[in-house]
Amino acid sequence: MKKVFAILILYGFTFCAQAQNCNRLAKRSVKNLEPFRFNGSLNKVLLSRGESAELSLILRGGKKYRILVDGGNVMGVLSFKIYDRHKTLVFDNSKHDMAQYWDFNIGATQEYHIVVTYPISNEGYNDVTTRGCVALAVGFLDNSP
Amino acid sequence: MLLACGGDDKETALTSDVSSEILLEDEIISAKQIKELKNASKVVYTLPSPVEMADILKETEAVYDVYILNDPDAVDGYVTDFKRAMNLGVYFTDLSFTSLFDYAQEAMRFMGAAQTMSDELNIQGVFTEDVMMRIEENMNDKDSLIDIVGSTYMDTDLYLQDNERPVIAKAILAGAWLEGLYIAVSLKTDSEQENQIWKKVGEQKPALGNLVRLLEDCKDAQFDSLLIDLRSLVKTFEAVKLDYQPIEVVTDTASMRTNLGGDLNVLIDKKTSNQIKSQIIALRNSITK
Repeated sequence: MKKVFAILILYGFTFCAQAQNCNRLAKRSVKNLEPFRFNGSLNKVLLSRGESAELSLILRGGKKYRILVDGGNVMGVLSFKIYDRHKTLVFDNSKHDMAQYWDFNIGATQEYHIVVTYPISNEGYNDVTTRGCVALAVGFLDNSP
Repeated sequence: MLLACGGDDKETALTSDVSSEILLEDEIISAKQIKELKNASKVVYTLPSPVEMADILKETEAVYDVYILNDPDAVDGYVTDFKRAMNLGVYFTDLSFTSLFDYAQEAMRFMGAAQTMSDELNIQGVFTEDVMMRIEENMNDKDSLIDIVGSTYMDTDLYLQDNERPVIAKAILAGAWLEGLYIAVSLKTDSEQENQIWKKVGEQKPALGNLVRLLEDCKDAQFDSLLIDLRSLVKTFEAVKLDYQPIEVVTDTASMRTNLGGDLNVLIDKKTSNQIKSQIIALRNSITK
């Protein structure tokens, strides 16, 4: 009985610590958007190796956006791709040195799909980590010169 | 917000979406891209946040009347958690709106209303004394004020995610987005501004679809009545034509920037806009009354 209780407490602590780390990571990603204004929707998700998450969001015409992914120091670089409403690929960070953020000038308001993937193999990073927190933050600015 | 109501159904939902796209746009989608999209095991639909809704309203350059907003003193009338959550969303948008449009005194009142709703919902650590003090100190600094509002909205969301309260989180989101639309359609403007406003309203057509998917995903009976009204609104929005011009993709690697050019014409006839307006007003009033 004592053992079960101890395991439950340990699980509780681990869960809380993971949530807090995830929140810290998410808040850091918002800070890193500057000088772009955070759009108010914070996205964080737990991903295992090889797993992806898709975010469907509307980017507005006449705005500049910064899209930033952050897996923290443990997970390393993440893959992110952007598809338009036809599901046609319009951006792939693997073609740009796995950049963890990118800026976009949007001509017309429409829905885009951002797919973030925790790569199966991440050279130079902790290979022990099989699951971790990923934050995705979006900021915007007026598209004036 | 990546807070799911019912996680297991998402892959199926995306797969069926993608399958229908294949039939329609066979020629432009490569098998590899479809595979990558299908493999996304967590699919999240988002809506513009209160800060973005206020920014959309700002773009219309219309003159707004604070009296169309919800009554900050109405908080005592919201007695269920569901109603409180919907109205916390409404107050978040009213707060963003008054902050961005320099109605500092009103912003303080909406901050008070949002704090009360948040306390009633037992959302801890968001509207702290420190936050309220920062608001008072920045009352005349629009940019700081809107940043504080954005961060309180984010902290509310994080708290609800950590405490696994997706229904409350989605209710806030729904209330906030509907209030933004309500403000937009409740204005009396000249015809040029009216066209601009209706273009913005029409552009929200995909967001409406996202909201319905989000709430359906929750499978919670509290959303049943709202979903009936929203599906009816979806039907009315079917008459709104979004005429997209093709996207031109131009990437400048040195400046880490991609231009996604293109244009969008929004076509709405008078009958449809009147119907949308009356449905949105009725929907919003069902939340706040």
